Amino acid sequence: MGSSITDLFNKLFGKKEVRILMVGLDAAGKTTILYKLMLGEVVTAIPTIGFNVETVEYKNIKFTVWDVGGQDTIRPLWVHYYQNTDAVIFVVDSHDREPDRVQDAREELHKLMNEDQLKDAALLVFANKQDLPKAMTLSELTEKLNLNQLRNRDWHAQACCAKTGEGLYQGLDWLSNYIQNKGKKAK
Amino acid sequence: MTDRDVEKCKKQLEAMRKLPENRRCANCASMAVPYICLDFGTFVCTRCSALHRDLTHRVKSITASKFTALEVAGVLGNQNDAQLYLCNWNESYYKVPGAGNEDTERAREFMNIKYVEKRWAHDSIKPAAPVAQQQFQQPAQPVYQQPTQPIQNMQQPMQPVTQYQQPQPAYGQQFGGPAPTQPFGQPPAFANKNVSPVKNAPAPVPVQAPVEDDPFADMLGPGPVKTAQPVAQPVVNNQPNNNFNQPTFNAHPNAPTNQPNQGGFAQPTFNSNATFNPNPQPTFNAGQSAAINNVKAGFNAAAFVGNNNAGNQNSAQKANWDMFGDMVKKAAGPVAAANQPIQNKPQPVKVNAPAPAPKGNDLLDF
Repeated sequence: MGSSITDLFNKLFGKKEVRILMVGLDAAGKTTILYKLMLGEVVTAIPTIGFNVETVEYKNIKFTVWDVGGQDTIRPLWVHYYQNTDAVIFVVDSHDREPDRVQDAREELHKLMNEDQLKDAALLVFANKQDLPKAMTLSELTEKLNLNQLRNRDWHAQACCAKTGEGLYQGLDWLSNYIQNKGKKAK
Repeated sequence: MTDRDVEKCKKQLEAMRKLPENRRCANCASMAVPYICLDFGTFVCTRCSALHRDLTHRVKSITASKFTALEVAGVLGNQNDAQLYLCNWNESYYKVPGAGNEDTERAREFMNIKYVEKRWAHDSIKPAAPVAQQQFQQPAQPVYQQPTQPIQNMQQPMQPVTQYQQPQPAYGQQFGGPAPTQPFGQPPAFANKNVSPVKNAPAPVPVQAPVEDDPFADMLGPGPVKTAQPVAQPVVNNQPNNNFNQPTFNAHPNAPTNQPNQGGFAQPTFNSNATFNPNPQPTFNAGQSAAINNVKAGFNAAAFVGNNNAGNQNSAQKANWDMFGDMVKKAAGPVAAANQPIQNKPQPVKVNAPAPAPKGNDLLDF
């Protein structure tokens, strides 16, 4: 009886804090997603050199989202943001079918997943820019990124469009479910 | 690609960046050009790089990205871009957007007209004439309050040929008198028989663009560029991502969606040969029916309005140009006002520190 009251109290007032690392190739839409989640507005994002960090509250969870620049020579800097990361959001430009770029994305993603510091982090893949004609579908992208090869990883792929906001909160839904379930497992 | 190749490409780009015509952003007055738009091979400022990304063009930072030799070969510079996309533009048509944030919406509109609508583009990459005329009649973008004065005039019935030769106040002054020399020196394609002696097509005349206050003057002149460049590979086609040139209208509510011939814009003819031919063959055919000629002449007359680079206007005409510019400004005035709230849109806070800090804003407090 006592524990259930505490649970209820925590559920009502306790706020979970989650640290999220959002990465992906340049011009994938990371900054646009971040500010769409935070402000509900579409910003014209200049290419990120360095990072943006904002907190987004959703379903009683405080997501601290680190959005790190994705241009190729600054990708090695991602490593500095790995620590204490609960979940990784990997954003892909579904519209960019250039094989080199898809390969880049796949390599970066798998490199990330092999990092020791991220071995407990969940993975949410946003297939962004679904509004554009000829955008790759979610299943196409799942295959091209070899997501099915991931082992020992909780992952979820979500089609989205940062401009309209479609799919973004479905992705966060999955994340929050995952985090709540993880908390139960820990107990 | 080895490190040495990467270095070599970077050096090439740095050298190009130092050329006078590449020191200014291809789309605005900014003098800092840390980005390259790969679709057009231009050097652009940070703000315009963001606008390019909005149009789904591919942008890369010169310092924070690696370039392949193929990509570098496609960077033909801002002068080349201006000759293709600002061929029929002049400052009185659309004042060059400023570098500051307050001019972002104007820069967006400028780029929309320049690259999506291709209103000022060279004939070789322009959409077919009837479609373009249709565009003039139907404002392509709801934001831009068309028709402005010059465009209304373009739709007027074709003027007799003689009015080109003897500028009359009603027509000649507004349109800058005789068809001015074009930057490429090619004969006006269909304009009229008197102005365009097709058989004696003049050799390319380098135009030194003596017009003051013309920020793109250095880009437009002199004359043809880069015919025999070693980079003659069809760069655009080599890249498998022809997506860049595919219609992107869905993503942009401002762009026309109801035009039947949009597919035609998507694949401009210059795709087939990346090094742009500065001397396109005149397509005027003396045997064409009068009706067709009239339509085309009208269209080209419209196209010529932009050319004040020839510097052959007397002061009276110039005064008229200025007035003309004012009209454009007036027409654009309410638009700018209407856009005000959008300009106040919060911009992402940029912090140039690689190390994580508790909150980006904290750093800005210093």
